[in-house]
Amino acid sequence: MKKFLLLLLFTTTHFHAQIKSGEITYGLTLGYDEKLSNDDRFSSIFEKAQNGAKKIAFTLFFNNEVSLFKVNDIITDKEISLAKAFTGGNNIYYTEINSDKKMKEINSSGYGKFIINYTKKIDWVILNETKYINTYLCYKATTETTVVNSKGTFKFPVTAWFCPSIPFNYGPYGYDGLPGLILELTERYTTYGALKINLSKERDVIEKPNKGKTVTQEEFNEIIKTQPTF
Amino acid sequence: MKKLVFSAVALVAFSFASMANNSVEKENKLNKEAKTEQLENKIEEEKSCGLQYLDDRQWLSDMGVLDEFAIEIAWDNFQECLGLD
Repeated sequence: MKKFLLLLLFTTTHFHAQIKSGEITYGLTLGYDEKLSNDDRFSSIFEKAQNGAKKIAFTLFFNNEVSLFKVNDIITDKEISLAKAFTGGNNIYYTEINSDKKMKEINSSGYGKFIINYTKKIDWVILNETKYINTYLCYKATTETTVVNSKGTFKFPVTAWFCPSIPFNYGPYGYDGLPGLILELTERYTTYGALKINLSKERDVIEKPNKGKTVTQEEFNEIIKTQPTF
Repeated sequence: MKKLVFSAVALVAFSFASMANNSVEKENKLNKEAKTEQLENKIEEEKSCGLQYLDDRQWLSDMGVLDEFAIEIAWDNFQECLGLD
C-alpha cells in the first residue's frame, strides 16, 4: 500500500509541480459525543455549539514552506461563540513543512494572548479506503490524539482523508504529515470538511502569528492553572 | 401684634424647612443604603458566577475536554451568568 502511494505521490507531484500555494476553505461540523451530548449540565450548550458550527468556516493557507489555519471573519452570535469555544476556533495554527514543531496563536479568556510553541508528532496509519472529496480522490488515514488535562489523560480517535494529487502534507487544525493535503479531518466530535479548493502557481507569502507572549505548551499549561482575571 | 404674627410665620417656616431637611436626609440615607445593597448583591453575584466558572472547568475536564477549550466554554457561561452576553 505504501509503495503504491509513493508511486502515486511521485507521479502527481511531477504533474502538479507548478502548484506553489493554495487556499482551502473548510466547513465545521460538531457531531455526537457520548459524554457531552448526554451530560445534564452541558448537553444543551453543546447543542447550541452544534448549531453555531454550521455558520462558520475556516481557511488553510499554504505554500511550499508553511501553512496557516484560521477561522474566517464573521459577526458572532451566541451559537457561533460556543462553536468556537468547543473547537479552539479562535486559535491560529501555523506549521512548517516536514517539521513536528508547530505554533498556535491563542487568545485565552481571562489570561490573555499567547503564541504557543508545541510539538506534535503524528503516527498515521494509512488504510485501503478511498472516497472522492470535491472531485479529488482521497485516501483514509487514522491516528489517535491524547488530551492531557487537569483530570487525567484521555485518548480520542482521529480520521483524515488526504489527497495525494495535492502534494502538500498540510491539513486543518495543525494536523499534517500525510503524503497529500488533508481535505477532511475528524477528531472526537469535530469534523473539518473541504468546501472550496483554490490552488495557485504563484507563491503566496504567509505571515507567522505574532500577537501575544511567546511560551511553550508546558508554560501555558502552568499559567492556566492560576486564577483568571475576571 | 405684628411681631407676634411675624414670629408665628417665622416659626412655621422654620418648622417646614426643618421637616424638609429631615426628609431629604432620610431620602439620601435610603438611597445610600440601597446602593450599598445593590453593590453587595453584585459582589455576591460575581462571586457565585466565579465559583460556577471554576466548577464548569472541572466538570468539562472530567469529560476529557482540553483545558484551553474548557476555559472558553466556562467563560461563555460566566458571561451569561453575569448577564453580559
